[in-house]
Amino acid sequence: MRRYIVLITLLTLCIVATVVITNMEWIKEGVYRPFPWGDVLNCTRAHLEMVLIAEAIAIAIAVPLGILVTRPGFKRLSTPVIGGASVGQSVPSLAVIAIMAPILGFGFQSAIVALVIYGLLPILRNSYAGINNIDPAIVQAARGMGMTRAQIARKIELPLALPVIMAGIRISTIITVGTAELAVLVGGAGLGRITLSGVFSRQVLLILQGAAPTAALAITLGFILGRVEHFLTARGLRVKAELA
Amino acid sequence: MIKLDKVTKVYPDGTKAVKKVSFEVNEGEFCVLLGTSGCGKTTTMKMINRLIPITSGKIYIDGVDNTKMNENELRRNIGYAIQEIGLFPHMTVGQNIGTVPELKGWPKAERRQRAEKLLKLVEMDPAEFMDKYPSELSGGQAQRVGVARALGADPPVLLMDEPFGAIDPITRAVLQDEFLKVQREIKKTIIFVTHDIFEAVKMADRIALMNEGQLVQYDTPDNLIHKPRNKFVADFVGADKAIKKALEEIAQRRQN
Repeated sequence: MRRYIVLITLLTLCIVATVVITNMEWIKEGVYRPFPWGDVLNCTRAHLEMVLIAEAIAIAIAVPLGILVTRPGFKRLSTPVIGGASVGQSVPSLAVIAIMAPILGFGFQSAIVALVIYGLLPILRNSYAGINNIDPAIVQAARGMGMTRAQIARKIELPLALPVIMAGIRISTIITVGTAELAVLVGGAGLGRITLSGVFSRQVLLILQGAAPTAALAITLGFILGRVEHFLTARGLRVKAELA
Repeated sequence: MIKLDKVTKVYPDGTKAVKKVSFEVNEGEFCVLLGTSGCGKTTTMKMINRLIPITSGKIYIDGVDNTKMNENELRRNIGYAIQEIGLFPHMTVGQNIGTVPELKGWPKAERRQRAEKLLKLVEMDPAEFMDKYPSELSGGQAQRVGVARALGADPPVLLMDEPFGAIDPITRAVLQDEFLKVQREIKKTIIFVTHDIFEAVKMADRIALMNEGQLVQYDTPDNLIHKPRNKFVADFVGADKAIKKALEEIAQRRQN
């Protein structure tokens, strides 16, 4: 409950900040005017769009790949795959985004590719760990009782790994909302347009006008995905979490 | 019922885990595979339900070579309980017990009925435990459910790999006594792995004592204590007089 209060307070603060700044009539005459409502809403929509597209692609790649490298026969690929993704993650996001322009040119696609690369790791790592960290005794018992490989995957491994995989998706999404601020540098859209123009013109208000809705977006998506995660967690596992 | 014929297991790295082990377990008999860690007892057991592939030799179940059967079908007809229990944490106690019946396509009502019956058998109240999750059970309760699950589809054969090994001594003794009572009722053919000589003497009709992959003596507990075949057996059942005395007491109590 307390967690929700903090979240709602933060979310309210972010929205109030956005509204107040955007409505600041008195500086609308100056050189560095806040962006009008139309721009703020368009940028928010574009931001959300980029995040959702990038995440959809990242999920489509990372979940199957993470699960694949837990399978016998592909296990020896787990170290290079997870390791490779970790290296990708350790490169600063600005560098990942910046390097896309010379490779793919300026534009939406460069931004998306960079966001996908950067969003892969948490999902990949959690998909791998979700399956791999299942108590071997559980799988052994399932085999010993005569479940086929497919039945073990569907009835045992997937339901047990799902909460962990979902947590990876949630973390990746929240990170991507932040990283997407930089997409504007390679020709993408999004709230980075507002934030970065504030950074370059040294206008704190403009920075806030971009940053506040970005934070609101991250909080909202994080909350929604948290609920989905809870919903997808088998009841027996929730009981455990409550006891712990 | 179960016949092992020169069963041998050599692992890919060359380790000879089991060497030409032959013995026979009759229907309704409680056979304990006894020995120290690494003597090959668990490997021997796992070759029966083919969790470990056999290198050479044959295992017959009811006269049928077990490698000629579908491995999943084979396993569904052999109850399996292990020390780590391995209950499925996302399923209720009832669903766990109903696992094999479900695999065999029993209707839901029948599965539930069966689970209730088995919970009563292991002295747990179905009304209280049926819909609980494994995380809500104590160690002893979880292992009772583990045993009930192994009996799920009423298999004629039961394989048990140190099922009471990880449980405190007092609860273990209770579970052993209860299980013996259950066995008198259900008369399964049981192969039970343990390293605990006291447990072996208490539970077994016949003990297969193994050492370094070989079967040293296959005999009744009484004969194992009183007519050890060689020095290894004599040492194992107690060069120490106190151990021997305790074992004799257990054997005595069994007969009464």
